[in-house]
Amino acid sequence: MKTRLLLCLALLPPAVLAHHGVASLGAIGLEGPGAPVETSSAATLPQGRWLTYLKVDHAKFRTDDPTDATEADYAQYWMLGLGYGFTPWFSAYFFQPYNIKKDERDGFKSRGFTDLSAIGVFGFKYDQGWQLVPASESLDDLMDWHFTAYAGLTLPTGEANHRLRDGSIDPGMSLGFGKPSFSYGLTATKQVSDATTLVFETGQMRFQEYRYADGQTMRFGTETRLNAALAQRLLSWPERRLRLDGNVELNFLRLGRDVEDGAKATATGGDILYGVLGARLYWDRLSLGLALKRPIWTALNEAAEQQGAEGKERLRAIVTLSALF
Amino acid sequence: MRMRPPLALLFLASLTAHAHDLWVERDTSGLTLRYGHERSGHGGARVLEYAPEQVREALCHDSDGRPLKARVSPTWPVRLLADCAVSLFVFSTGYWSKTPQGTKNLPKTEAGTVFDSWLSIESVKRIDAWGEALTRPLTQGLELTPLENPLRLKPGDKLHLAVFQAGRPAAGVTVAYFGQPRGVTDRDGRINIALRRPGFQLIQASIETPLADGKADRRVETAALQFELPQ
Repeated sequence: MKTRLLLCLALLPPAVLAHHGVASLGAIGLEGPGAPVETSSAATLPQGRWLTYLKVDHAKFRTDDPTDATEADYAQYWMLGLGYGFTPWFSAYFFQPYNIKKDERDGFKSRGFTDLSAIGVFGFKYDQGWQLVPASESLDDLMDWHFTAYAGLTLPTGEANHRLRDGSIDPGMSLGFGKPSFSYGLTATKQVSDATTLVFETGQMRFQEYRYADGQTMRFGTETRLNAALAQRLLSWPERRLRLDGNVELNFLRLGRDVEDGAKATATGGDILYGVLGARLYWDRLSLGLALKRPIWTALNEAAEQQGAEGKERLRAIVTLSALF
Repeated sequence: MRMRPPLALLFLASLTAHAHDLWVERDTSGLTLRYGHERSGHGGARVLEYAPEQVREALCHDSDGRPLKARVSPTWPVRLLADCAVSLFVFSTGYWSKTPQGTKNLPKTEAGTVFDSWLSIESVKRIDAWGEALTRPLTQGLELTPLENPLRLKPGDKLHLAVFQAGRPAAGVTVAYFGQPRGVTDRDGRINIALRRPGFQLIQASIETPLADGKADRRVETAALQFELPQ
């Protein structure tokens, strides 16, 4: 039970929206707002353009008892994404996650493709009034407040009834939720100077109860997040079409308590505040994001029993790569 | 010709790095066309002398867009001796050819071995009084046209403007503020530019088109819009 929350986080589609900062490169060269690595920026894709995306998130956990073979050692989440700009103000994405989880001495316990997710992003801005994101914006237009509203769902394409080596089913180690989950949220971006961009995001992900093949039921707790980030341009080489940004982020995550067989589950849920330090390198239409993330404050419901869950990471290392074409 | 935005930006960046600026100075008796770097902060001589015959047109209009008769001084610096709401100068240094010996102010037919060649056309429009008619272009050349009264704006405001060529909106044209590219025009020729400084304002656009006169490969046209905000 200790690791089930990680599964939820790994499948969260909105988080990947942060990573198409490359879009601004295509429109206005090396200028324009920056994009953090974890916090979703308020950007839509240019009309008629595709975005491909890869994210790897490696979470290393604190372990309490080295002799306990069931303690989670690390988890690794891969995500492939494809986005398309249908209009300047509406983009849609598909994401396919692939998860690897390993316990301390037990070797791999869970590995495979999980639920496919789809999400739509609606972009708007404020410039002497509210308006949809236009097809063409100058650098000065890009300094206006920009917003996106997004909504999406996961599709139950993963194996929710994935069985462990001993034949049991642990919802926390499953490769899917069994039923669609739903996400929605808002983002806001404000480029406050030529080199500095502020980004804010809030969103929720809600889950449905699912009855597993062994008869147990599970409804994962609602996830609520509130993120703030600052992206600062550090270096720019226009002749090589290179730009390097540094990012500082605060990611607050509230995890609702899971409901297991109709009862509130122990050792689940709580509040976590992550600190994130990252960098983003732009080269032409490619963008490489690197970040280190760790909990800097936690209030977990049963902290002593939640080894392997969010808030118990020693460190998360995140790499993203996106390309606009 | 519509250019892909990144290329357009690079093009303008290189153009403005080497080109000179035109601007118009107003005094009690008229308007004077200046050429050099004084207004954009580029290096080199601040005010350059030019041949008066390089000024192809000197136009004076009232705030309703009607042309006014104005005497043009025949010597350097060229002056429009009238009280114009809008003054517009078209200036050309003629044909240029890039050769192994350097860049020559000659058509390619007279320059020997030529790598690249172009015809340079520049214009500057200064607005001192506003009327709605000035939202339309005054010439058939490349021209920047405010879509609102720019004289009422204050530093930090955005100016909504359009770029025209041959009297029609020009899409994909790179527009710069004091030589710094700020974006490209949309399909209606429109773009918004923030006025970051008080006082003198200089907004520039640039476009290049293939040239079929046999004397150069392309025509490089730049246009500037000038006005002043309260200090």
